[in-house]
Amino acid sequence: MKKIKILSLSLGVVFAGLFAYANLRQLSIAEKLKTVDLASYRLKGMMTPAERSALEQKISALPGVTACSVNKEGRVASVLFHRKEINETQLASHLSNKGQWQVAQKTLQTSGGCPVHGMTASFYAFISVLDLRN
Amino acid sequence: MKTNKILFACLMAIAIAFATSCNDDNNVSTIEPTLYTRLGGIDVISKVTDKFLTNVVADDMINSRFEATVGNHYRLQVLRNNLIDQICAGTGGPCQYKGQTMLEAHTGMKISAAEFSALMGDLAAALDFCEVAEREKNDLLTILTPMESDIVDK
Repeated sequence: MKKIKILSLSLGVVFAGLFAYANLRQLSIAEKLKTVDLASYRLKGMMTPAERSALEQKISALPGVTACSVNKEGRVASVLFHRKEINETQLASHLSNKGQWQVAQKTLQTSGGCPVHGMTASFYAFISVLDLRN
Repeated sequence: MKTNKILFACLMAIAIAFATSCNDDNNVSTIEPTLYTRLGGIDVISKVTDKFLTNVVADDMINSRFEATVGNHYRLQVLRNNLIDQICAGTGGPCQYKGQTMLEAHTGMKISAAEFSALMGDLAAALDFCEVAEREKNDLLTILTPMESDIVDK
């Protein structure tokens, strides 16, 4: 019973420490920016370079979108956005340009990627959940 | 005689003050603003970084290297923050890059010269899209290009 009390107390202290760190740490300039999400889409249909450029400009100008790129072949579009302002379904609708192109969201790989960010991202995720400033 | 000495000392003090202030003015006018300032600060750097990320994810040649990272909300923030901090710090801005060195980060990934070239092309396209002037664009690419030796074939 005493061991359980000590263990509970220790876990409480660790959690309180992490909570304090999450909320009191000094945020870098980049960390103060609003968080973003990324969605990638496959496009079907003929697209001229001018249409590709116009579509990029149109999507980039939407409220909540920070950047949009369509590849040279007009087959893949990727969009960075603020989830609180716009979602994937709305983006797909805008990308289709009233049915001019068929749009399907790509499922991104879940493993691999930049190994450098693997461990720090897990810690960052935990701290971000505790950070009430987010 | 004493009055002359005091007058002379006052004139010298005024002359020195003038000379010093003139020197300061000259220095201010010749100090070159940092590349960070010339680029437009954190707003432009974050815009360029976001456009660079979407370019990379739309680029069939290299997107498989990044998909798993950008597809995860938290890993995406870490990557984006590191890129912004790296460009900001490298151009003389008030940021500190906290990520791993390029050599540590890319060892074992066996990135080819063609992939690195495609990545730099995506960055150049992002700078063009954000209408960064040619001089600032070249200055930034000059800072980043030497990283190739720590990234390619490791």
